[in-house]
Amino acid sequence: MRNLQLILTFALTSFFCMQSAIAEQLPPAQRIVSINLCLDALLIKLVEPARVDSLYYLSANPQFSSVAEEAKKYNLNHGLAEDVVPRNPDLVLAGTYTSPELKTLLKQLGFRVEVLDLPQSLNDISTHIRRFGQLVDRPVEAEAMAQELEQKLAQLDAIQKKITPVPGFWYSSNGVVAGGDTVENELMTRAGFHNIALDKNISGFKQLDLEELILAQPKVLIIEASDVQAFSLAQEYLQHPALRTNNIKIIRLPATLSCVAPVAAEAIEDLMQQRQKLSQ
Amino acid sequence: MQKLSVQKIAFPILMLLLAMAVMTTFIFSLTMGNASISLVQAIKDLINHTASLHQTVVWEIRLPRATLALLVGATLGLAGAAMQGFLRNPLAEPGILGVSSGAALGAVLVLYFGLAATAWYLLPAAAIAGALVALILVYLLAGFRSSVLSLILAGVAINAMAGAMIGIALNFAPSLFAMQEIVFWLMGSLSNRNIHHVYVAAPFIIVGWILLLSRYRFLNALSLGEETATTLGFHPVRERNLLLVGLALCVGASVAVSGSIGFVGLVVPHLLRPFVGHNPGRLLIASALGGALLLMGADIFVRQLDVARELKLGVVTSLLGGPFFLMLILKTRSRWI
Repeated sequence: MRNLQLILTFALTSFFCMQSAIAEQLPPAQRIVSINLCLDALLIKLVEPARVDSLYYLSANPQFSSVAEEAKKYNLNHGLAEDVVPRNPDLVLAGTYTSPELKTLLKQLGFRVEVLDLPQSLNDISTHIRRFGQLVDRPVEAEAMAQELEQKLAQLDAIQKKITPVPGFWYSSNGVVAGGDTVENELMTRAGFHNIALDKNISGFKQLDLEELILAQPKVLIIEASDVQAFSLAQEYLQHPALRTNNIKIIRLPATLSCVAPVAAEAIEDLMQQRQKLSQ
Repeated sequence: MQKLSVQKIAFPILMLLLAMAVMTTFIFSLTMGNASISLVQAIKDLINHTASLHQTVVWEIRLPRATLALLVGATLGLAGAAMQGFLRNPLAEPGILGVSSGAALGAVLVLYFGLAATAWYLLPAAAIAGALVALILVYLLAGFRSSVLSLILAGVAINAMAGAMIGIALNFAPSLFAMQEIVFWLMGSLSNRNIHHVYVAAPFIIVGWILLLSRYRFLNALSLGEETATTLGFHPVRERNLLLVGLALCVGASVAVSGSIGFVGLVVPHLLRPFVGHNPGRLLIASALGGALLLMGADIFVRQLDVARELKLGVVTSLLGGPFFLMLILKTRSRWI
């Protein structure tokens, strides 16, 4: 009995693996369900609304999403099996961090689930966008978007060679700074800033003591501003009067950058302009 | 023999010693931190109006923190002494009886739902209201001259309810970070507090102190019994109301900026009581100084530990206070039945 179960599981798994291998030759999906916040923004930008069945509910929340207003016009799902199954989608888009149980369950129930790796660096983004375009049958639009980003990055790198980087921190809620191996570090470095966190051997995200931060004498603090006026001690951290002394310039980025792919181009543009203003 | 020797210290000398210790710790606290900064340089820069790193670190970062530790610690010590004198119960303390949690609930409700941004006084006002409600509940549930057991039960109930409501409020708060911040409200911390927090809390705290300290005669009379206090010319209802308002004012305003820090109000009055000859009135001012000393010390301690996230103050005070509480219960157990 147990063997039978094993064989059955193996057969099912290999079947679905094969299915996903040939996925890209399937006819264009007409009822796309996304259960990942970061893929929603790309869906909104690239795919006509008629083919999108529903988006992940967090996309309509301006604290998480850069496309909250647009997302409110779509149906929303909560990323639960009982939410997705009745919609009978012909394509479910999931991210790397979507619950593995849900992905397995949906696959077992015979749905086409595509998992996209979220970009870990700026150069990954264009690959990510192209792959996304193929999955949703919008390769031309995705190619244009990817090329725009690549051009911006090339532009950045060309300018960067000519300027002296401005020392600063990427500073976020709870006094956390972005160190090496983060997209934030890459964004600021390529936009012509010098990330002081790297001098302190910080990798990933780390809370930095306020005294140490002041003592490192940053010229700028890049802060991701949330448009939502919701109080938290974490946000209150960024209001500390000590940050407004010693000629520290504060650069506020308007977008929510937790999903970097859809907003990378705008964020880069913004950072470049802000840095130019500093050197004037 | 030992009791005799501790009573030998005259009250003015005790006060002088405590005040000197508070001042030394306060100045010491300004010199402690991750940045190696000269306090003398900071004072020079302040006088010469030169913007410098020394000045920023000492005046903008360390001074608010040390000041708050002083204000909040003194409040908790004083409130503990006042509550123990007023309820005539050795286990009365704002943290244990849920008064601090009540205040934290008030603060959480106005802060996280955007009301505090409309007027500066709303935050302390809400916390004071929360503290007052909790105090009245304690008083109604346990009352004057209550048994240790009923007081603890009242405290457990109010604390649990206020804690749960803080949890509910934070869960429904619009901010993403709200739920993680329950630790701050239940454990307390002074990390990264700035001068605005001092401005918001200090006026209410000081008015509360004055109200409490001015009741010292009543508390002395009360130690002889409620009836004696009445025959001595005190109006118990009026005195009680003033005490409750004073407690709510200083505890509420303190919790609004530091979260609820437990056990300071329990430990300090007990440690100092023998030194003031078991005089409830004198114990008030002594406990205020002792509380300030304890909290400043605890805050200096948490700043020394090089950990990813700073230890909450309530953790340190609970570590000190927990065993103390057990000891007290063992001592008073015989009186329970």
